[in-house]
Amino acid sequence: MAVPPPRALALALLAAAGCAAIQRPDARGTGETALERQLARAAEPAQGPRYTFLGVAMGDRSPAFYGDIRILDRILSHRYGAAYRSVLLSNREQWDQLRDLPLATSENVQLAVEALRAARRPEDRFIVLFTAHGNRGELSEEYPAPGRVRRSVPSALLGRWVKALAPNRTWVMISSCYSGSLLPAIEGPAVLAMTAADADHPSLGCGTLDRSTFFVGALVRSLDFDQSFDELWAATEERLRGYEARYRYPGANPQIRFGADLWGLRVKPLSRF
Amino acid sequence: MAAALLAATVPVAPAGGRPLNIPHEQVVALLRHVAITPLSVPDDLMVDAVDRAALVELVATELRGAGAEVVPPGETGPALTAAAGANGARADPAAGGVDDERWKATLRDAERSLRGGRGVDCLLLVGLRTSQAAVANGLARWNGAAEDPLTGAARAFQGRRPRMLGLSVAVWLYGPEGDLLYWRRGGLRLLYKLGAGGQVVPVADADLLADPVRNARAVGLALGPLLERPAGAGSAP
Repeated sequence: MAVPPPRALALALLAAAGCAAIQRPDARGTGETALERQLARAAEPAQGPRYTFLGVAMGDRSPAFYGDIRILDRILSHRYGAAYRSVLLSNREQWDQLRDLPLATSENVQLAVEALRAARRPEDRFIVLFTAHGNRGELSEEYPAPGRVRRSVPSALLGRWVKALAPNRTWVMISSCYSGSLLPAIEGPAVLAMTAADADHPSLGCGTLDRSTFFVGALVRSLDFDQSFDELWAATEERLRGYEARYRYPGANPQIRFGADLWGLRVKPLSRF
Repeated sequence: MAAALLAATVPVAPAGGRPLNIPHEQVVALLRHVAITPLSVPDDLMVDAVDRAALVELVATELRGAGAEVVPPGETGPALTAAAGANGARADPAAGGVDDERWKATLRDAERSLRGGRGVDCLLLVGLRTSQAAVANGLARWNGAAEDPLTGAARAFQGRRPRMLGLSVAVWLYGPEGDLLYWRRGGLRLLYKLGAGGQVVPVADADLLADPVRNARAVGLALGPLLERPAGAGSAP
């Protein structure tokens, strides 16, 4: 009788565990931040373009990922006001009895992307942040089940989520180790992509006491909507070099790519995104 | 959101220290034209510009309520930067310490340059600062505030952590000659909580100034002895 190879067996077990875990009653969040409520608010019409932030924090034990999506959400909500929409998903372990944000599982991300795609209008813009541990060609998805589920999100799936939002203008940020390896999957004519690292380097700032990942921390501190994307990127790189120097880390080498339709954004203020 | 799930910060006994460096009446007499700086934030924390401005506005509102005319941070910040550029850095790399005379000159020059050269009476620096919070009887206490350091999930955890880090609103009031007249910190919120199992969990940066009630309370604690003379205050330390 053929014995399943260990890797296949492990994957099958993980898949089974994942299926069981997603059925936890609060997997889609609770109260005003339940996934269905977030998606309903995201679909509400606005005068002019809507700016929708999809924040996906896929790591569970480092609070940095949760911190990443929350600080960007707060800044963008202040920036865009009535035109702002957001969908936040997080796998962070909870402090209290009830989970406030929905889990950042692949299933919930898929639901969110489908809903945003269905509700979009041509003038709408998307800002997407995936923040997680990662490896070459994949992001890690970890969440408390009961038990702990660990799965991977392959670059192909990530690419399908990003491309589902096309042709709307989409600014994608990925803060994870080796995130540059995900670029080929997510690039598109209307996609502005930023990654915390190239394909060959880890990025820093995902420890259990970190408040944000180094990349998002540097990016957020450099945000100035009156400056251009080139200026934002230069300031972000400079800050990152400073952080990395403290740890004597040679550098994650963050990457940026402008889609063919967005090349002109390089020298335009962020407010023109 | 997470902020709503956290235990509330409650005011307790006033923060310690002797904040007034000159008699209270003299300080109050100087609160006619007060320049207020932008909020300074420790490098390891991220606070949105809108939240920073809102907190400083709370401080300005309190000062206006006391009859002061307030020069906003949009004017004070550049004036202070220019004065610092002219006088040199406060830190003295050669001596390895802080050059107080240089600092006083910076403050004095900044104050004199404001209001179209007519000057101000005082300069109020506003910032966020971290302090040790001692945990006793289930509450972390620092700078006049107290907060439950445990989360809902951790209430059954019986571990003890005698000290945690609390975030406070800090103010420093400098007189026309650059002398420190008053300083005070008002406890805002803990920077960390204890999760299930006792692990330390940072409060998200987005939540640090997200609660207007906490913000107002911390500003009140920081400015209290300055604007509402408490019994026994007013004597030089």
